[in-house]
Amino acid sequence: MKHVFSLLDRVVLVLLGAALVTLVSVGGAQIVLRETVGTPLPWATEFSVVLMIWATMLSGYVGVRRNSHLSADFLGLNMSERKRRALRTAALLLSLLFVVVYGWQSRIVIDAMEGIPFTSLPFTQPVLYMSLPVGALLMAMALLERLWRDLRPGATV
Amino acid sequence: MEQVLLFGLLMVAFMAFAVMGVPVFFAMGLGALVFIGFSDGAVPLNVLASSMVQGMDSFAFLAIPFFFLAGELMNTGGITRRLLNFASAVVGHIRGGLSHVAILASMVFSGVSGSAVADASAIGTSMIPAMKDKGYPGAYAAAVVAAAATMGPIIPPSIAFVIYALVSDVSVGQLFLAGAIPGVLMGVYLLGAASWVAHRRQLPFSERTSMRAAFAALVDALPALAMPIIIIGGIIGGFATPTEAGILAVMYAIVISVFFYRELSWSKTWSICCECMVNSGIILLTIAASGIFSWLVANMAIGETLAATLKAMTDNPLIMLALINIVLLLWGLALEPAVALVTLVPVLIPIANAYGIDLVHLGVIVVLNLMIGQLTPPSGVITFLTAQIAGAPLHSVFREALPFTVALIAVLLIVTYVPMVSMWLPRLMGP
Repeated sequence: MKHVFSLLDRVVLVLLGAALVTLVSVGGAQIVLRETVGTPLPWATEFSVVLMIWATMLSGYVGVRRNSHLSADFLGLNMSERKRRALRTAALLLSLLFVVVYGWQSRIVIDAMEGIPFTSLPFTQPVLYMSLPVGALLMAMALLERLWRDLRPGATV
Repeated sequence: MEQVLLFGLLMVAFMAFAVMGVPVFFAMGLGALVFIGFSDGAVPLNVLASSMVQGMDSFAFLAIPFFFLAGELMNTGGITRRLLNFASAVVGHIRGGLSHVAILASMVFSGVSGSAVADASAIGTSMIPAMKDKGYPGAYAAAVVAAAATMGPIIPPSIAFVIYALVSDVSVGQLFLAGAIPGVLMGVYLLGAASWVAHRRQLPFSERTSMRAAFAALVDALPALAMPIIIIGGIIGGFATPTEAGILAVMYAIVISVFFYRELSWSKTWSICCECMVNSGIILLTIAASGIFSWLVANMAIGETLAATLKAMTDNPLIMLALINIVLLLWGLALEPAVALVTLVPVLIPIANAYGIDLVHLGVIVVLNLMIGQLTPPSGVITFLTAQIAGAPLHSVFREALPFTVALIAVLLIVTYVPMVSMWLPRLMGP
């Protein structure tokens, strides 16, 4: 399992880096073409937004893996190891609950968006909304892996 | 009134989840889940999913990764060192000179990065060890750098202003312009506070730099000093939106760091791209979750109900501004700025509208309050970072930061009650 997650980490990180390079390149090309030739790329804005939303949902997975999501956990600071572990397990389970609910609900949204086209892109809205269940699935996997690691005997918080 | 109670429940649930250690993105979603559960079917559950995408379906959000990337490229590409050399040549000879150098360099770096944490990290890693070597107390060095970093999100470009603009539907360009004078004022007040501390504690100073060396430092730092001109010039000149100005900043940073200074390799640039997308993605995800908050606030007319209730209590906008400041300071003490912005601003907008408070003016007040919160316990992220760099106890850094916090509160009062300080420039040159 360790190898699977390590590979997944690398793939997602490369995808995120590539997404940012693409966003800068498309945006740069858009400015240059508009200011020099006077013909901007008609699909650039919509494409960039779709790519950014996909990258955002994927970065949620990296955030869980690295435990780097923004948080404000002052409650556990002065607690015993045992209580901190209980609190952390509860936090992971609650996070998992939210991810499962929104991932499952995104199914309804994708169905509702079926057949609705983008203005300038050759695909329909579900391509954008698919980022929700994919991001949710990856985050759920990462949360489960952390729960498994935390609940093993001898694990420290 | 029932909506306001429901909204109170949403906020309490969100805070409870956050305080127990649930990351903010999940805590916001769980708070919304509680709200939906108590709304008797008035809000469909799939709003959780749809509002996340709709909340960030805007090209303007791209400014966040772009400004993150530009700041990181400039920092890694040798800009920080050059800015410090330049600042040292200008103010290093004053008593407590290195604290002035840190403040001046932060002021200039703020025009490059747009993030307080980036400023604290860039300036802190170079300045804090140098200050300690020269005999400055570590806690004081950490406090100066942390206080100076609060200018980052006020002096344009600013990631916090981009987030505020997107939540409140105000022009990013106008906000950038509105932050310029208050940012400089912060710098002046912080320099004043540093000077007071330096004379009181007889802090050391360096020898005056020769004119030739100062000129050489200026020439070396010129490409970095040109960055704010490119960003603001692009927006005011009308050939770039604020998001596109972010792209120009990235391209410029690559050109000077890779080709001009030759301090940044392509492999390093690639790893910076990966990390910047992760870091900005995590902020964007929190904003995506706030889409649920915004949807609930807008659809349940919570802000309007709250505004009407407050209006019945007082009609005076000056009193309302004081109340807003108190709420923001408390909210900023507890939460990270991006989170505080996306949770509180949707509620503040209808209140500001009801009292005739300009939303651009409010934006500067909001961000300034949240920055002061970053300097004080319990959530003072910038102070945690600089204390860690200095290896100083956190409580000492918070104590050393007190004179600077007082100086920043004085600036906050000026910005709040003299709107011209923030509004003069946007009215003069507004895009």
